Amino acid sequence: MTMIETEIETQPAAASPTSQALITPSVKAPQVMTAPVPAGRSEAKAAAPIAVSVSGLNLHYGKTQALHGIHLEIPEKQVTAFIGPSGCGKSTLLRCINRLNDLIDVCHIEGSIKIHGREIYAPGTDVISLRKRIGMVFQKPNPFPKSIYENVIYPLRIDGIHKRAILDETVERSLHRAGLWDEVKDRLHGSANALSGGQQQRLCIARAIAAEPEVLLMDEPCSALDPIATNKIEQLMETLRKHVTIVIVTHNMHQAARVADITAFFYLGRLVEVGATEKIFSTPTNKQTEDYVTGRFG
Amino acid sequence: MSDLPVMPPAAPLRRRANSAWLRFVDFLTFGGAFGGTMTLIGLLALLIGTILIGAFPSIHQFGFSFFTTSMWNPVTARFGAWPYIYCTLVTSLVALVISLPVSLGSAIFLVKLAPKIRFPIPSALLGKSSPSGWTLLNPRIFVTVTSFLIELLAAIPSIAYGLWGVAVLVPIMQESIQPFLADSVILSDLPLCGWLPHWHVGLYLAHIPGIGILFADPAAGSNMFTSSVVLAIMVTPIMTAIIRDVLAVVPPELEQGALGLGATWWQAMKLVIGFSKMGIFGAVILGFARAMGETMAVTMIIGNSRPSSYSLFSQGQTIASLLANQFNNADTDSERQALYFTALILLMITMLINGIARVILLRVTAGGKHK
Repeated sequence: MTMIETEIETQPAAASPTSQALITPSVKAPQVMTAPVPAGRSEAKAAAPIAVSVSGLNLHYGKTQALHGIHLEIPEKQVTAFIGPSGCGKSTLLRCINRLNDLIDVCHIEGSIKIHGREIYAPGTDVISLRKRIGMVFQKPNPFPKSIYENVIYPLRIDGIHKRAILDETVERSLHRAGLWDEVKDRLHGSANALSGGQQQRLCIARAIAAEPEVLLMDEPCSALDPIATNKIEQLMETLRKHVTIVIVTHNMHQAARVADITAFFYLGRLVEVGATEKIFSTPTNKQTEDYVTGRFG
Repeated sequence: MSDLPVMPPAAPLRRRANSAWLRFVDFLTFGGAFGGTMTLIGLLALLIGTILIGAFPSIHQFGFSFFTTSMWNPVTARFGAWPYIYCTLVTSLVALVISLPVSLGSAIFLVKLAPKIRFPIPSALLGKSSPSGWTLLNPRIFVTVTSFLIELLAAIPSIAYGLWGVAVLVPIMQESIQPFLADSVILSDLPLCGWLPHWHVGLYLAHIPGIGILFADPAAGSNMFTSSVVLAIMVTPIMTAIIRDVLAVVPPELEQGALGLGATWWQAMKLVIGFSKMGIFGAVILGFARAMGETMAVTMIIGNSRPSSYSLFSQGQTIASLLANQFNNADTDSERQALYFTALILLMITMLINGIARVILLRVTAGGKHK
């Protein structure tokens, strides 16, 4: 009977863990250094408003704690990179931002995440409309088994938009922004699966930005791609950051150094250090950060 | 590191590698394995051969007109199988129409929902105690038990379904369901209950050519429609099991991607179903082959007489039930040959469909695993 796991203490049928999530921002002083006002690449960015603000975030998968007291502020219309070795919690934190962790039923979250000042873990938050405001690109390109055109307009389709003019315009704009228009404009109604891996990933980016999200989450978007495709996506991020706040999780430190304004280093579920990318890579305050970015571990 | 336990020396090998006896045993093993397989394939050939030879005079005499004529007269030795082919196809198709939503739903439940459900059971059943008196079952156990129960339906002998059909389903069909269906579809202005705009549905359905014919004259409960319902119950477990396996190989990125874009669960499921439509099609035609070959339960329920009309509420006779009823009672050689011909038709259709379904399913599940 070892497989019978949970004994209920009080109620016979527990509600889903996420609905019980305690929305009590931790009053403890942050265990790690909080984000300094980002110096950014130029002084002008220093005053960028905050898009996503995480405070006192603890996350448990069953009995294991995956994130410990995260405090982090992600500025608007800049690229923020999460780096750190495997299992450090960076992808987990990313999935907290669009509440994709809700799908895992042993996942339990405490603390607060605000997007443009609105608490997303407040009771009664409409998760579906939250996710509509946040685009996400996954590690493995995941085009839907539909045409290129239908893939891009999927976010509009699920909102019930059928006006041909709007759809056509969205497809063209999104594919242009994703740098894919010239390659696919003659076969918009062909299958998305016929594209190469890099093209598929750019299609996924086009799909993620089609509904003009406020934040674009990218979970190791280049790890399944070759260097040329990777380079294209990095160039793309450079243009996208004008329109949207980007948060990227990456294994590749050089990628973080190339694309990010702000870099956050995670280790064992803790945010070790966060700051302007140049500072993290040249003069980190923390010994662990220094060891990681200089390649001494990880 | 230095004090690893010392392994005891291996026992000396005592194999008599060249013994004639051992070589003979090897030969027997090989022969048994090879011979067994060949026997099965030989039996298949023999079976098809027997039916083919039995049917040959009939094929020669009637040719293609056997499929299109409705005559079955042993005295004049004129035979045509159209009514039986019609009954076989229609009962099976209606069974699939009923079964598909149920099996698709339960497959989605087993793959996507059940793994998240912690089913509460009284702790006392497990011989444990807990403050609330309830223990939450591990989802894995819940999935296993649910799958097992569904697959158990496939293990129930078909005679038991037949008995249940005769004793329970036939009266219910006769008294309530058939009159309701016929009224809703044909008499589109008869309000049965205020909240259900069934007259509306009927209004549309009655305009589809052929629908009116299918739902005409509800009389006895023993008919094609009741047989379809029982067939639907009988093919649902296998279809559920296959669709479950097909859905299990859909990459999780697909569903997550849709949910991440703000899709509702139903919208994400539509993508998942769209992704596995070939596999679901395979499951459907495999269920079709099963339903067409089913004999015992159908024989007990369908009424066993040549259908008087195309209505689902008319009594019927499938090829399988015809063979079960008539073969031993066939008076003339020509009738026996005609029965062989019908058996050949059934055999060919089911084998063909089975083959197509298996190839599709093999490609779908192998492709999924490969990725």
